[in-house]
Amino acid sequence: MGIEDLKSDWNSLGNTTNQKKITNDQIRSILKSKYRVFLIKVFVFEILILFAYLYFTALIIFTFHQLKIHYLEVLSIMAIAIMLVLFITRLKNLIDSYRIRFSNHSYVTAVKKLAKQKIYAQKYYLFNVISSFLLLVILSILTVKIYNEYDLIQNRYFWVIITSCSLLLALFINKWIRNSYAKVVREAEDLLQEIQY
Amino acid sequence: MRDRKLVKNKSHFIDTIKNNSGIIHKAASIYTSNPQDREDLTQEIIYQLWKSFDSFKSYSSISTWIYRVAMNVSIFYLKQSKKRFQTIPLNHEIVKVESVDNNEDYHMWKKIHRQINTLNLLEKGILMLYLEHKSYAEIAEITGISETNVGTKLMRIKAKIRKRVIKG
Repeated sequence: MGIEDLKSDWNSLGNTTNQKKITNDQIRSILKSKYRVFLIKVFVFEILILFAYLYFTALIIFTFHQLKIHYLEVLSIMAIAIMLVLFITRLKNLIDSYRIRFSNHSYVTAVKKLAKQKIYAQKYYLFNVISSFLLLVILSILTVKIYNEYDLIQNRYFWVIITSCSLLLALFINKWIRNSYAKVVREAEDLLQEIQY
Repeated sequence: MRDRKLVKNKSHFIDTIKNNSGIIHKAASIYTSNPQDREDLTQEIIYQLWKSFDSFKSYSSISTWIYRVAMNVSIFYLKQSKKRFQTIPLNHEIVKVESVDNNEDYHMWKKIHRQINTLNLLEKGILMLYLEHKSYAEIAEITGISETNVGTKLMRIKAKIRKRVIKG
Protein backbone atom coordinates (compact mmCIF):
# COMPACT_ATOMS: atom_id res chain seq x y z
CA MET A 1 0.00 0.00 0.00
CA GLY A 2 1.08 3.61 0.14
CA ILE A 3 3.34 3.81 -2.86
CA GLU A 4 0.89 1.79 -5.01
CA ASP A 5 -1.91 4.24 -4.21
CA LEU A 6 0.39 7.07 -5.01
CA LYS A 7 1.31 5.45 -8.32
CA SER A 8 -2.29 5.12 -9.34
CA ASP A 9 -3.06 8.73 -8.30
CA TRP A 10 -0.03 9.92 -10.22
CA ASN A 11 -0.99 7.98 -13.34
CA SER A 12 -4.52 9.33 -13.25
CA LEU A 13 -3.04 12.84 -13.10
CA GLY A 14 -1.07 11.97 -16.19
CA ASN A 15 -4.34 11.29 -17.99
CA THR A 16 -6.15 14.36 -16.82
CA THR A 17 -3.35 16.89 -17.13
CA ASN A 18 -3.97 18.72 -20.36
CA GLN A 19 -0.53 19.24 -21.79
CA LYS A 20 -1.73 21.49 -24.59
CA LYS A 21 -3.24 24.16 -22.38
CA ILE A 22 -0.02 26.12 -22.24
CA THR A 23 -0.02 28.17 -25.42
CA ASN A 24 2.64 29.86 -27.54
CA ASP A 25 1.48 33.24 -26.31
CA GLN A 26 1.78 32.17 -22.70
CA ILE A 27 5.34 30.96 -23.16
CA ARG A 28 6.33 34.10 -25.09
CA SER A 29 4.71 36.22 -22.42
CA ILE A 30 6.62 34.45 -19.65
CA LEU A 31 9.89 34.99 -21.49
CA LYS A 32 9.14 38.64 -22.21
CA SER A 33 7.67 39.65 -18.87
CA LYS A 34 9.80 37.64 -16.53
CA TYR A 35 12.24 39.94 -14.89
CA ARG A 36 14.75 38.61 -12.51
CA VAL A 37 17.27 40.52 -10.50
CA PHE A 38 20.24 38.19 -10.41
CA LEU A 39 22.31 40.49 -8.36
CA ILE A 40 21.44 40.03 -4.76
CA LYS A 41 22.34 42.57 -2.10
CA VAL A 42 25.91 41.40 -1.73
CA PHE A 43 26.43 41.32 -5.49
CA VAL A 44 25.15 44.88 -5.87
CA PHE A 45 27.51 45.96 -3.12
CA GLU A 46 30.43 44.20 -4.77
CA ILE A 47 29.61 45.86 -8.09
CA LEU A 48 29.61 49.26 -6.37
CA ILE A 49 33.07 48.44 -5.01
CA LEU A 50 34.19 47.52 -8.54
CA PHE A 51 32.99 50.91 -9.80
CA ALA A 52 34.81 52.61 -6.94
CA TYR A 53 38.04 50.85 -7.99
CA LEU A 54 37.56 52.08 -11.53
CA TYR A 55 36.88 55.63 -10.35
CA PHE A 56 39.96 55.82 -8.11
CA THR A 57 42.17 54.17 -10.73
CA ALA A 58 41.10 56.79 -13.28
CA LEU A 59 41.53 59.58 -10.72
CA ILE A 60 45.06 58.48 -9.87
CA ILE A 61 46.07 58.00 -13.51
CA PHE A 62 44.76 61.42 -14.59
CA THR A 63 46.28 63.29 -11.66
CA PHE A 64 49.52 61.34 -11.49
CA HIS A 65 51.50 64.28 -12.93
CA GLN A 66 50.32 66.55 -10.06
CA LEU A 67 51.78 64.35 -7.34
CA LYS A 68 55.43 65.15 -8.08
CA ILE A 69 56.67 63.73 -4.76
CA HIS A 70 58.43 60.42 -5.18
CA TYR A 71 56.78 58.48 -2.35
CA LEU A 72 53.31 59.58 -3.52
CA GLU A 73 54.08 58.26 -6.98
CA VAL A 74 55.11 54.93 -5.46
CA LEU A 75 51.90 54.87 -3.40
CA SER A 76 49.87 55.61 -6.56
CA ILE A 77 51.39 52.68 -8.38
CA MET A 78 50.79 50.47 -5.33
CA ALA A 79 47.15 51.58 -5.14
CA ILE A 80 46.59 50.87 -8.83
CA ALA A 81 48.20 47.43 -8.47
CA ILE A 82 46.06 46.55 -5.41
CA MET A 83 42.90 47.79 -7.11
CA LEU A 84 43.72 45.80 -10.23
CA VAL A 85 44.19 42.59 -8.22
CA LEU A 86 41.05 43.20 -6.15
CA PHE A 87 39.06 44.15 -9.25
CA ILE A 88 40.03 40.93 -11.03
CA THR A 89 39.42 38.65 -8.03
CA ARG A 90 36.06 40.21 -7.18
CA LEU A 91 34.92 40.23 -10.80
CA LYS A 92 35.97 36.60 -11.25
CA ASN A 93 34.04 35.68 -8.13
CA LEU A 94 30.92 37.44 -9.41
CA ILE A 95 31.15 35.87 -12.87
CA ASP A 96 31.76 32.38 -11.43
CA SER A 97 28.75 32.71 -9.13
CA TYR A 98 26.59 33.91 -12.01
CA ARG A 99 27.75 31.12 -14.30
CA ILE A 100 26.62 28.22 -12.12
CA ARG A 101 23.80 26.91 -14.24
CA PHE A 102 21.22 24.32 -13.46
CA SER A 103 21.10 22.83 -16.93
CA ASN A 104 24.70 21.83 -17.40
CA HIS A 105 25.03 20.02 -14.11
CA SER A 106 23.07 17.53 -12.11
CA TYR A 107 21.50 18.71 -8.88
CA VAL A 108 24.36 17.40 -6.75
CA THR A 109 27.08 18.87 -8.96
CA ALA A 110 25.35 22.27 -9.02
CA VAL A 111 25.16 22.33 -5.22
CA LYS A 112 28.78 21.26 -4.86
CA LYS A 113 29.95 23.90 -7.32
CA LEU A 114 27.98 26.55 -5.47
CA ALA A 115 29.46 25.54 -2.13
CA LYS A 116 32.98 25.42 -3.60
CA GLN A 117 32.56 28.86 -5.11
CA LYS A 118 31.46 30.40 -1.85
CA ILE A 119 34.17 28.68 0.17
CA TYR A 120 36.71 30.05 -2.31
CA ALA A 121 35.36 33.54 -1.61
CA GLN A 122 35.67 32.96 2.13
CA LYS A 123 39.26 31.79 1.85
CA TYR A 124 40.22 35.16 0.46
CA TYR A 125 38.74 37.00 3.42
CA LEU A 126 42.07 37.73 5.10
CA PHE A 127 43.66 38.74 1.83
CA ASN A 128 40.73 41.07 1.14
CA VAL A 129 40.91 42.66 4.61
CA ILE A 130 44.63 43.38 4.37
CA SER A 131 44.51 44.67 0.82
CA SER A 132 41.38 46.76 1.48
CA PHE A 133 43.03 48.27 4.56
CA LEU A 134 46.19 49.17 2.63
CA LEU A 135 44.11 50.55 -0.19
CA LEU A 136 42.01 52.74 2.11
CA VAL A 137 45.11 54.20 3.78
CA ILE A 138 46.83 54.89 0.46
CA LEU A 139 43.70 56.33 -1.13
CA SER A 140 43.17 58.64 1.87
CA ILE A 141 46.67 60.03 1.45
CA LEU A 142 46.32 60.40 -2.32
CA THR A 143 42.83 61.90 -2.47
CA VAL A 144 43.61 64.48 0.24
CA LYS A 145 46.74 65.38 -1.68
CA ILE A 146 44.90 65.56 -5.03
CA TYR A 147 41.90 67.56 -3.84
CA ASN A 148 43.37 69.68 -1.02
CA GLU A 149 47.04 69.78 -1.86
CA TYR A 150 47.67 68.67 1.70
CA ASP A 151 50.21 66.08 2.77
CA LEU A 152 48.29 63.88 5.19
CA ILE A 153 51.40 62.02 6.38
CA GLN A 154 52.69 65.22 7.94
CA ASN A 155 49.60 65.32 10.16
CA ARG A 156 50.41 63.93 13.59
CA TYR A 157 46.98 62.35 13.98
CA PHE A 158 47.19 60.57 10.65
CA TRP A 159 48.43 57.19 11.85
CA VAL A 160 46.00 57.07 14.73
CA ILE A 161 42.81 58.26 13.04
CA ILE A 162 43.16 57.29 9.39
CA THR A 163 44.72 53.89 9.92
CA SER A 164 42.31 52.83 12.64
CA CYS A 165 39.30 54.08 10.64
CA SER A 166 40.59 52.29 7.53
CA LEU A 167 41.12 49.08 9.48
CA LEU A 168 37.63 49.24 10.97
CA LEU A 169 36.06 49.99 7.59
CA ALA A 170 38.01 47.23 5.83
CA LEU A 171 37.03 44.76 8.55
CA PHE A 172 33.39 45.82 8.50
CA ILE A 173 32.97 45.67 4.72
CA ASN A 174 34.75 42.35 4.29
CA LYS A 175 33.08 40.76 7.28
CA TRP A 176 29.69 41.74 5.93
CA ILE A 177 30.51 40.27 2.53
CA ARG A 178 31.91 37.11 4.16
CA ASN A 179 28.81 36.68 6.32
CA SER A 180 26.54 37.11 3.33
CA TYR A 181 28.45 34.40 1.49
CA ALA A 182 28.51 32.24 4.63
CA LYS A 183 24.72 32.25 4.66
CA VAL A 184 24.66 30.84 1.16
CA VAL A 185 27.34 28.28 2.09
CA ARG A 186 25.19 27.10 5.00
CA GLU A 187 22.26 26.64 2.64
CA ALA A 188 24.44 24.68 0.23
CA GLU A 189 25.77 22.57 3.11
CA ASP A 190 22.21 21.83 4.22
CA LEU A 191 21.45 20.63 0.73
CA LEU A 192 24.57 18.46 0.67
CA GLN A 193 23.64 16.95 4.01
CA GLU A 194 20.21 16.18 2.63
CA ILE A 195 21.79 14.34 -0.29
CA GLN A 196 24.14 12.29 1.86
CA TYR A 197 21.52 11.42 4.46
CA MET B 1 21.45 35.47 -39.96
CA ARG B 2 21.68 35.65 -36.17
CA ASP B 3 18.03 36.77 -35.95
CA ARG B 4 16.90 33.87 -38.13
CA LYS B 5 18.77 31.48 -35.89
CA LEU B 6 17.17 33.10 -32.85
CA VAL B 7 13.67 32.84 -34.32
CA LYS B 8 14.32 29.20 -35.25
CA ASN B 9 15.60 28.54 -31.74
CA LYS B 10 12.62 30.30 -30.20
CA SER B 11 10.06 28.32 -32.16
CA HIS B 12 11.98 25.11 -31.38
CA PHE B 13 11.97 26.07 -27.70
CA ILE B 14 8.23 26.77 -27.69
CA ASP B 15 7.53 23.42 -29.35
CA THR B 16 9.76 21.69 -26.81
CA ILE B 17 7.98 23.34 -23.89
CA LYS B 18 4.54 22.57 -25.33
CA ASN B 19 5.41 18.95 -25.89
CA ASN B 20 6.82 18.58 -22.39
CA SER B 21 4.61 20.93 -20.39
CA GLY B 22 3.31 17.95 -18.42
CA ILE B 23 6.75 17.43 -16.88
CA ILE B 24 7.00 21.10 -15.89
CA HIS B 25 3.51 21.15 -14.39
CA LYS B 26 4.08 17.98 -12.43
CA ALA B 27 7.43 19.17 -11.10
CA ALA B 28 5.94 22.53 -10.10
CA SER B 29 2.92 20.84 -8.55
CA ILE B 30 4.80 18.28 -6.47
CA TYR B 31 6.86 21.05 -4.87
CA THR B 32 4.14 23.62 -4.24
CA SER B 33 0.76 23.48 -2.63
CA ASN B 34 -0.89 26.69 -3.77
CA PRO B 35 -1.67 27.99 -7.27
CA GLN B 36 0.30 31.22 -6.91
CA ASP B 37 3.52 29.44 -5.89
CA ARG B 38 2.98 26.87 -8.61
CA GLU B 39 2.56 29.58 -11.22
CA ASP B 40 5.71 31.37 -10.02
CA LEU B 41 7.68 28.14 -10.03
CA THR B 42 6.41 27.18 -13.49
CA GLN B 43 7.52 30.56 -14.82
CA GLU B 44 10.89 30.17 -13.14
CA ILE B 45 11.40 26.72 -14.67
CA ILE B 46 10.41 27.90 -18.17
CA TYR B 47 12.65 30.92 -17.80
CA GLN B 48 15.62 28.80 -16.71
CA LEU B 49 14.96 26.37 -19.57
CA TRP B 50 14.97 29.28 -22.02
CA LYS B 51 18.15 30.70 -20.52
CA SER B 52 19.96 27.43 -20.94
CA PHE B 53 18.28 26.25 -24.14
CA ASP B 54 21.26 27.13 -26.34
CA SER B 55 23.63 25.24 -24.09
CA PHE B 56 21.43 22.16 -24.04
CA LYS B 57 23.57 19.27 -25.17
CA SER B 58 21.95 16.44 -27.06
CA TYR B 59 23.82 13.70 -25.20
CA SER B 60 20.94 13.31 -22.79
CA SER B 61 17.32 13.20 -23.93
CA ILE B 62 15.25 16.37 -23.98
CA SER B 63 12.96 15.04 -21.26
CA THR B 64 15.93 14.16 -19.04
CA TRP B 65 17.22 17.69 -19.48
CA ILE B 66 13.80 19.19 -18.63
CA TYR B 67 13.47 16.96 -15.56
CA ARG B 68 16.94 17.99 -14.45
CA VAL B 69 16.31 21.72 -14.83
CA ALA B 70 12.80 21.51 -13.38
CA MET B 71 13.98 19.60 -10.34
CA ASN B 72 17.04 21.74 -9.70
CA VAL B 73 15.13 24.99 -10.10
CA SER B 74 12.34 23.75 -7.84
CA ILE B 75 14.71 22.75 -5.05
CA PHE B 76 16.81 25.90 -5.28
CA TYR B 77 13.71 28.05 -5.61
CA LEU B 78 12.23 26.61 -2.45
CA LYS B 79 15.49 26.40 -0.51
CA GLN B 80 16.67 29.89 -1.14
CA SER B 81 14.84 32.88 0.19
CA LYS B 82 12.28 34.26 -2.22
CA LYS B 83 13.71 37.69 -1.51
CA ARG B 84 16.55 36.72 -3.79
CA PHE B 85 14.20 36.29 -6.71
CA GLN B 86 12.56 39.61 -7.23
CA THR B 87 9.93 39.33 -9.90
CA ILE B 88 7.58 41.79 -11.48
CA PRO B 89 4.00 40.53 -11.22
CA LEU B 90 2.79 39.21 -14.55
CA ASN B 91 -0.46 40.01 -16.22
CA HIS B 92 -2.61 37.18 -14.95
CA GLU B 93 -5.02 37.43 -17.87
CA ILE B 94 -2.17 36.71 -20.25
CA VAL B 95 -0.16 34.21 -18.26
CA LYS B 96 -2.50 31.83 -16.58
CA VAL B 97 -0.97 28.41 -16.35
CA GLU B 98 -4.01 26.45 -15.38
CA SER B 99 -3.28 22.90 -16.33
CA VAL B 100 -3.53 21.45 -12.85
CA ASP B 101 -6.09 23.75 -11.38
CA ASN B 102 -9.26 21.98 -12.37
CA ASN B 103 -11.23 20.60 -9.50
CA GLU B 104 -10.48 16.92 -10.06
CA ASP B 105 -6.73 17.53 -10.26
CA TYR B 106 -6.80 19.90 -7.32
CA HIS B 107 -8.18 17.23 -5.03
CA MET B 108 -5.78 14.65 -6.42
CA TRP B 109 -2.80 16.90 -5.74
CA LYS B 110 -4.08 17.61 -2.27
CA LYS B 111 -4.22 13.87 -1.61
CA ILE B 112 -0.71 13.38 -3.00
CA HIS B 113 0.66 16.26 -0.92
CA ARG B 114 -0.80 14.71 2.22
CA GLN B 115 1.06 11.48 1.45
CA ILE B 116 4.39 13.06 0.65
CA ASN B 117 4.57 15.90 3.14
CA THR B 118 7.14 14.09 5.28
CA LEU B 119 9.60 13.87 2.38
CA ASN B 120 12.39 16.38 1.93
CA LEU B 121 12.89 18.27 -1.33
CA LEU B 122 15.31 15.81 -2.90
CA GLU B 123 13.16 12.85 -1.92
CA LYS B 124 10.14 14.49 -3.57
CA GLY B 125 12.14 14.87 -6.77
CA ILE B 126 13.31 11.25 -6.69
CA LEU B 127 9.76 10.09 -6.02
CA MET B 128 8.49 12.14 -8.97
CA LEU B 129 11.04 10.50 -11.27
CA TYR B 130 10.18 7.07 -9.90
CA LEU B 131 6.47 7.69 -10.48
CA GLU B 132 7.31 8.81 -13.99
CA HIS B 133 8.76 5.33 -14.57
CA LYS B 134 12.35 6.50 -14.80
CA SER B 135 14.98 3.82 -14.30
CA TYR B 136 17.50 4.01 -11.45
CA ALA B 137 20.16 4.93 -14.00
CA GLU B 138 18.05 7.82 -15.32
CA ILE B 139 17.24 9.04 -11.81
CA ALA B 140 20.95 8.88 -11.01
CA GLU B 141 21.76 10.88 -14.16
CA ILE B 142 19.20 13.57 -13.36
CA THR B 143 19.99 13.95 -9.67
CA GLY B 144 23.72 13.24 -9.75
CA ILE B 145 23.60 10.62 -6.99
CA SER B 146 24.72 7.02 -7.53
CA GLU B 147 22.31 4.27 -8.58
CA THR B 148 22.87 2.51 -5.26
CA ASN B 149 22.02 5.70 -3.43
CA VAL B 150 18.87 6.03 -5.56
CA GLY B 151 17.83 2.53 -4.47
CA THR B 152 18.50 3.30 -0.80
CA LYS B 153 16.64 6.58 -0.98
CA LEU B 154 13.65 5.01 -2.70
CA MET B 155 13.44 2.36 0.02
CA ARG B 156 13.48 5.12 2.62
CA ILE B 157 10.86 7.11 0.68
CA LYS B 158 8.56 4.09 0.46
CA ALA B 159 8.97 3.47 4.17
CA LYS B 160 8.12 7.07 4.97
CA ILE B 161 5.01 6.96 2.79
CA ARG B 162 3.91 3.66 4.34
CA LYS B 163 4.39 5.11 7.79
CA ARG B 164 2.38 8.17 6.77
CA VAL B 165 -0.46 6.02 5.43
CA ILE B 166 -0.55 3.93 8.64
CA LYS B 167 -0.60 7.09 10.75
CA GLY B 168 -3.45 8.33 8.59
